[in-house]
This record gives sequence, C-alpha cells and structure tokens, in this order.
Amino acid sequence: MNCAQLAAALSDFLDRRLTEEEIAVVQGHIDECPHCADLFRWEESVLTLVKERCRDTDPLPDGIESRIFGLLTD
Amino acid sequence: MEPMTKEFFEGLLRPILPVVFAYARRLTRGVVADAEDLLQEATISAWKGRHTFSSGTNFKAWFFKVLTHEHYRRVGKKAVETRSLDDSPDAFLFEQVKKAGITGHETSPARVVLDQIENDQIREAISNLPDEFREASLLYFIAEMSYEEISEALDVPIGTVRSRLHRGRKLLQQALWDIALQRGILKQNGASLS
Repeated sequence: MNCAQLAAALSDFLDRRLTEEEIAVVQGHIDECPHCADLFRWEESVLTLVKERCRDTDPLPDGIESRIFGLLTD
Repeated sequence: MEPMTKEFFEGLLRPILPVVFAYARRLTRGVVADAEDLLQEATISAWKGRHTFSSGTNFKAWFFKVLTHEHYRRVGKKAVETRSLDDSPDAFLFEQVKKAGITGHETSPARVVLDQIENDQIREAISNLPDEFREASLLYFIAEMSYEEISEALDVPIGTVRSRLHRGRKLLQQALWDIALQRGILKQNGASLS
C-alpha cells in the first residue's frame, strides 16, 4: 500500500468497513509512515469533531408534537 | 406482533423527532416552516403506509425512508441521481492546514480549524453538498445512522452509501476550509498560504 492508497482507504478504515486483512494492511502502513499516521489522526479528529458538532440538534418548534400527532386518525 | 396503534406509532416516532426534524430542516434549506410541512406530510404518509413497516425492524430507517421519498415528491426529484463529477483530492483539509503551517499547541490542528466555525455553519455546509452526497451525509452526521440504515432510508446499496459518504466527506472538507478562511483562520494563526 502506498500513501495515496492509504488516503483513499482512510474513510472506510475509520468507519470500520474494511475486512480484517484490509485493516491489517492499512494499520501496517500507518505504523510505518509518519505522514500517514498524522493524516490518520487528523481525519479521525475531523470526523469526531464534525459528528460532535452536528449532534446538537435544533430545538423543536413549539407545539410541533401535538400538531404532528394530531394528524393521526384511525 | 405488536399492532401499529396510534399510541405505538407515536411511541416510536416521538424519541426520533429531534433528529427527524433536523434532517427535514436541512433538506428544506433551513426553512423551519417548510421542514414542519415536510415532517407533517411524511407523518401522514407513514401512518397511511404503516402496514409496510414490519414490527421489530428498524423504525428509524423506515421513517427516514418515507420522509426522504416525501421530500423527493415535493421537489419533483427522482431518487436515482446522475453522478456528478468529483475531482476533489483525498486529505484536502490536512494538506491545506499543513501548507498554512497551522498547528495546535494544546489541542489538535483539526480543532483549531473547526473552532473557527459555528455548529450551524457545519450543518449548513453539509446541506449545501450536491444532492447525491447531501442526503447520505445528513443521515450519517445529523441522524447518526449506520451504513445499513442509510442504505435502507435512501433505497440504495451499501456500496453506494460508502461511495457517497466518502466523496461527500471530501467535498465537506473543502467547504469547511473555505469557511475557515472566510473567518480569518490564517490571520489568527499568523499563517499564510503561499
């Protein structure tokens, strides 16, 4: 695996979408290449931060639950 | 099997309403009234089609599927999109930050960049992605759905979810960098792009 292949595989690696064999190849490259180890830490950090920042959902408009559930008729 | 009574339906929908509304709001470009209309129509549609939901399966993925289809119907869009060109590089943000010499002293460089950006701007950046990447990315980041749930909600294979999320993330990094530049991140960090 080269650095370009590592960069392309990182997304799947972070989302745990790779097979055991593929994980071993990616992890092996990260362990040996300081640039890709930095890139891995960076991508992991960005992903975690964006997820955290999206978690804070907007407040629901007042009364929306009664309006929504009032629509249900038998 | 639990019958889909009104109470049972409400009990399933109520806990996911905040994320459903957040998704609807982003699909409708942030307009709260449009998001509520979409949510109301999706609720009516889901209630009428409740026989298509199998008790014990994933209600969240099923409801998001109904809502996404309702959105397509409202905007007159087909569920299957043509693929847009995507020539954005991998590791875009990482390379830009290195090039600009931005480092984090007590925190990660990623946090230095993202701290310049409001939560709403991040969500806005995701909702401004091209359609084919936007919906998968919203479901991933805002609704925190798994690949399997996104696949069900969008009616596409897992491989398509994987590819859309990967490409969506690359485009999102470009968008976040643009926002960080507008917010003066280079000035604040004494960095420059050459």
